[in-house]
Amino acid sequence: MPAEPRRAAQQRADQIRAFRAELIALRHEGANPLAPEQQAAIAAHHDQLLARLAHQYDVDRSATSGQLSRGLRLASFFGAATLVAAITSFISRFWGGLALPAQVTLLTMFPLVSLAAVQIAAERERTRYVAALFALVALGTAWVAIVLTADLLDLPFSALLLWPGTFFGLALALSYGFRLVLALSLGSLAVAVASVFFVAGGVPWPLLVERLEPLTGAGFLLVALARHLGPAGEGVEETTHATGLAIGLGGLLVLATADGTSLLAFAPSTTLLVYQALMLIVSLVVLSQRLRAGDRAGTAVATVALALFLFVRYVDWFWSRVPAWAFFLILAALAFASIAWLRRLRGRVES
Amino acid sequence: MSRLVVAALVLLLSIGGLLGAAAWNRGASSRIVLTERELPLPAWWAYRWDAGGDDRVLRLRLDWQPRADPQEARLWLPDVKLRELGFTTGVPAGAPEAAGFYGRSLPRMAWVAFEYDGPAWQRLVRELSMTPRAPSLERESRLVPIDAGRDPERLRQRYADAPVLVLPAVVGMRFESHPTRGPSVWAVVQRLALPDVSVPRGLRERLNAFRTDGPAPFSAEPVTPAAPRYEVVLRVGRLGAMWVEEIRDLAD
Repeated sequence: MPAEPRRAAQQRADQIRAFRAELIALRHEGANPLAPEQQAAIAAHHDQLLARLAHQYDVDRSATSGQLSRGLRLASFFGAATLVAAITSFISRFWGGLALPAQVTLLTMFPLVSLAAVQIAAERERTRYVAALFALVALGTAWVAIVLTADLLDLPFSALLLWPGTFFGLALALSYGFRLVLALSLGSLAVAVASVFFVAGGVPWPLLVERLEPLTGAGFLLVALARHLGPAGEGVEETTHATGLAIGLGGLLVLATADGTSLLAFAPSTTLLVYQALMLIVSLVVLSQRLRAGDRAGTAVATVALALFLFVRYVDWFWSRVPAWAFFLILAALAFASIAWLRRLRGRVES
Repeated sequence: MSRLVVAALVLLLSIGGLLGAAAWNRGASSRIVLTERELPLPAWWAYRWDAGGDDRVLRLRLDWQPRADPQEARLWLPDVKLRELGFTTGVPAGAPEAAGFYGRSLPRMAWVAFEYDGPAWQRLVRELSMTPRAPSLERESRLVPIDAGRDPERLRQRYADAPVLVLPAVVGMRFESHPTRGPSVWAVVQRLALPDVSVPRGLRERLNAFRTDGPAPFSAEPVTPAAPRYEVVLRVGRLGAMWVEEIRDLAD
């Protein structure tokens, strides 16, 4: 059985769709390689297979349904975000009129009810769009519950409180494979790990967003752990890898670009140079690795990080040194050069 | 399903943990009475902004004297104290690398003792009254930082008999090269870990008398009249978390 059955099912459905389209095109061109009875047998087999895959994994059977699925995912996200915003606004508006026990009970009930809704929705619909919406609401309201309960009790929001929200999110994400919840919780896990470094040194933990080495290190730690976390569920390895890369390369990008974001005791210009060299090497290594591994998400993250880094470096080094027309002309020339290079690369891959 | 149960348990345990921490905090506490000068009303409450939004949580922000002047700061946060808090102070202020060195210095978490209306405040009053354009001090908070350390218990014992609040705060280094006074290095309290305290529902009504229907000023700053109108009995627990025990109208 493949490691990611739903993804494998969708891939098979896409192959069948492509096969049927190609067969129609061949027929129009007068080159029909299959006898009618062979075609009928294959079509019947594919129909059965698609029906089974649709029943088991709710795969998209056409390009249009694929687009609709993406729309549904987007709608789930916005639905969840607005629902959490509504709950948070409701709380801030009417909270003072309630006694503390009622406040704490209500705060705890929001995520618990959302968890029950996740379970009910997951049992009733295989697409899990509604379940994913409730999962995001559960995650958002759990964080609201933890933060506001500390606030109501006049307790400081210490770094320790990052852990329960993270564990809640991870347990929720792994229950039914909610990838966005997993990515967000892995992000908060990286923040929690980085906070340990600051707390141990007696430094306020929110500083981890200003001095980025610990957070960047935590991101690459996630990348290193991704393979070991893979058996925890479908898509866990890929999501962990992509989230870790986004945090790690994002951190390196800021360290290589913005002065005063490092913990290193060198002069600011030396620190920037060190991180610029590191960013270039790491992003190129990651890009080639991810390309070889056929990891689309990891490749996309590494490509975006590298492109952003090169663009920022280019602007930083040349904007004030060359006239604007030459600046943009060089950029256009670079774009043409990259097209030529990519064409050559494609030709080599195809041959 | 079982992982959803785990998620629910994590949530219940964390909320239970927070309630336990609050109970532990309140298990041993010190008491201090402050006035409207130290705990002013927020403008949204005082001027009835956000009509119909009176059910928001009412929080009073603790105001204190920053003692941010280099000479004043060094009186209570000398180098010895800064090293105790974890700062490195080996680079002289006049050294060429001082600006970069202290600019990169990270702030530290520390326990700070704030004295209420004591000798430190009297000293500040004397000093300010000698300046050419002495500001009015009637509305100013009389809470002044006087000591800092990493062990709250030691600070509490040291000031057991004085009206002193020991609170967790963020202390940071500053460097400035003044054209006449030359370069200086000092430290200030950047912020409190818990900058404000919530008013329990049962005590909110006592602050109703101090609300006004008049035109609101074009500012979100807290409102402090010349003479304080109320006093607040504040308690501070083991974790440095404060809570309001009582609010009294000073006119009564």
